[in-house]
Amino acid sequence: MDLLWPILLGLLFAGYFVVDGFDIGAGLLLRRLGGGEYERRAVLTSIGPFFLGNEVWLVAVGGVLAGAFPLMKDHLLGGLYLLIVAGLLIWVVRDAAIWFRSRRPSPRWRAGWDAMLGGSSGVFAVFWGLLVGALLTGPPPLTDRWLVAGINAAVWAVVMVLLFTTHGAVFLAARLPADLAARATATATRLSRPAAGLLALAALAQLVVPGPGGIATTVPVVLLGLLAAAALWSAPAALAKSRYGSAVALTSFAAAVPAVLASLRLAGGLTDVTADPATLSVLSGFLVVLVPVLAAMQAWMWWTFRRRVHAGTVVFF
Amino acid sequence: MDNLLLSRLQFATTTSIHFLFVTLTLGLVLFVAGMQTAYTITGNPVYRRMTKFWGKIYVVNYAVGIVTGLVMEFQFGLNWSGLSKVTGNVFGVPLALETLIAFVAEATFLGMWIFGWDRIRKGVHLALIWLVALTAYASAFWIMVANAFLQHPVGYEMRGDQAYLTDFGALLANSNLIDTLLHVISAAVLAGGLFVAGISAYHFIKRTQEVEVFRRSMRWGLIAAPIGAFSIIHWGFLQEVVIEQTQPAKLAQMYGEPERMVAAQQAMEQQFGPGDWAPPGWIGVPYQIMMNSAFVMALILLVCLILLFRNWVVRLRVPLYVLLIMVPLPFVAVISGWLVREVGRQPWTVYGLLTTDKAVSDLPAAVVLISFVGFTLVLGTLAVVDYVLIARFVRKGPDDELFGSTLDQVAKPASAHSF
Repeated sequence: MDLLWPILLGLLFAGYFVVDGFDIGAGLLLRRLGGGEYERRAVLTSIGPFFLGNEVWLVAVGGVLAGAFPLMKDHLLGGLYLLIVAGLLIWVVRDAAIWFRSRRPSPRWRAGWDAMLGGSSGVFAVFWGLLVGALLTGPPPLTDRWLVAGINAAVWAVVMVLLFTTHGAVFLAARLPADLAARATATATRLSRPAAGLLALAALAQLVVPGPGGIATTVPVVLLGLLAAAALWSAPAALAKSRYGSAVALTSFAAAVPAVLASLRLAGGLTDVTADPATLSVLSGFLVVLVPVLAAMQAWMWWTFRRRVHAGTVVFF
Repeated sequence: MDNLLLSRLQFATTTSIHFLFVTLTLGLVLFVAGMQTAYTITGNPVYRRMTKFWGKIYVVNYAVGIVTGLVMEFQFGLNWSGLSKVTGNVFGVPLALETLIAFVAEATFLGMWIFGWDRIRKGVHLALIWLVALTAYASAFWIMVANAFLQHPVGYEMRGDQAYLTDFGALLANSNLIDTLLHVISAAVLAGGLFVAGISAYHFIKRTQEVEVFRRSMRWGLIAAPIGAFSIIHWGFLQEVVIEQTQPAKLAQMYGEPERMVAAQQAMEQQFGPGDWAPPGWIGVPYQIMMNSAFVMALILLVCLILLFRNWVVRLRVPLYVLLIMVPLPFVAVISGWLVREVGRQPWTVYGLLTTDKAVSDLPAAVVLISFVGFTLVLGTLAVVDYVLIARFVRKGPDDELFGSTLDQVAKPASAHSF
């Protein structure tokens, strides 16, 4: 019971990084991989059916925070007020760009929203890096350690951009029509080594960055970070053998790890900010039903649209 | 300007924009689901065109509804930390359940419905839009559970300065819940029905070639809208009974009756000590706007419903213009009604439990000014862009694009590209 809610929160956050990481990466790569309208629509259709089902993982994180950790929600949101506001606005702009870009035939309209999607996806990745980097030094407010939190945040911002872009490229290699997938594979192959190297360095840096929990959390944080770097490093090898499922699994693990690291650092402080047992028991009653139902729904969505995009695939975004 | 005022303005702006779009979402989804059901059962292609036309407007409208919904979810933690500190154990429950039961499911099903056109089996695809509708209404239910707690807190006990959940069932049985929920749902049916009827009227004014699509749509809209209008009045007046019992000061200001307000002020001074416990007097204005517009809509819609007989509503032509002009009216009414309910609750955030000045987060005013301007500009711009898009789709009328179009239909590979 004590562990159930923190684990659920961590899993949802990590799951969000995995699935919206596909979309953030694809958004970043839209203009790079998509020369013409056909290529761009193919990229958008690769993420399309999952897009709404992906971002709601973050909605679920917000829901669990509100229900089970109301005070944590305040610390996180209020303590990093402007950063969170900026993150929300970027999220909104990214979504609007996806919804709006194909709603008018005008090439200028589409090019404008494509630029907006690429830019906002990039800034959104930066936002997640800043948040992870700051949270690795402990929960907000950051008053007495803003300098070290700021430097760590800047490092992780670069890491997350590279990580999500690689992750997105691998996903597109697995989803794009066969003739377009080669470019995504090349991009993933080119990016994975620098991304993995930087992720490893950022993980090692946590040895000197003071964080809550001391050595008991530092060791797993560094080890998991290095493991994620190794997974990222080896993804191109799987792509080269056309083992797309394995490649996606490898970068998915890497994309999940930063969220897990932040959760590990924060877990120790969660007991003070958890809701009353009576509240948790009501929520748990619903959760017993909801978790399997929501998991089944997600599985249904991924199964229904599992096939590679081709000329006859239904488009919308 | 101080932090409190800016935080309130920010919340009011983001919520108003959200409310404008979700009201139409809730109303239109019933039509889209109903029309798709008619198509699935009868196989009549007219219903398929109707489903696609209204469905297209529905999803374009949905875009701003969902992105503002994402922002709304995090607003409480950002600006209203006092709310979590004092009532987080209770208020957080319906919020959490709304996201997990409704929001997550609704968005997932909608994505599948959009990309499942002509790809998923007909029956399953129909089930998806009904699941979207069901979860959208579940969302409205849980949000109203949370709101009813703010209006009239129940099911808790205070220990120290924190509220603890003691009776979850009481949250669902709140006297401020069911009438209001039905009032809001009626508003959505009215807004959706009048929208469908009014846009159909526009196409008859333009001498549309799609007579069959808009004749049936007009009929659907004109049957639903008066039902919405009369229910809205019914559940609206029923709420006043509850408001008189639980928030007498709000009722006094709605009616603009000073004697009533003096009595309410005295009663509250006895209960909570000295202070100004009166909500702003101007809520009487939106109250009048809401009530009178509801009467006007109910009467006119009833006449239009009767004029459906022998298609007089189209043949007379005047009703077409009246219907089109009335399309924005339900939206004016819902914003007015929302102002009455929420501003009328002041100075409380949680009535009798937590005042708004104690609920607001301790933030520098300059910081909240930045976020207020940011949210207003971004969400306001998106709302305008979305309305322009909706207007374009409305004018364009039914076509077979958007839903079920395939990649090779919308674009050609670069090698075959001529421009």
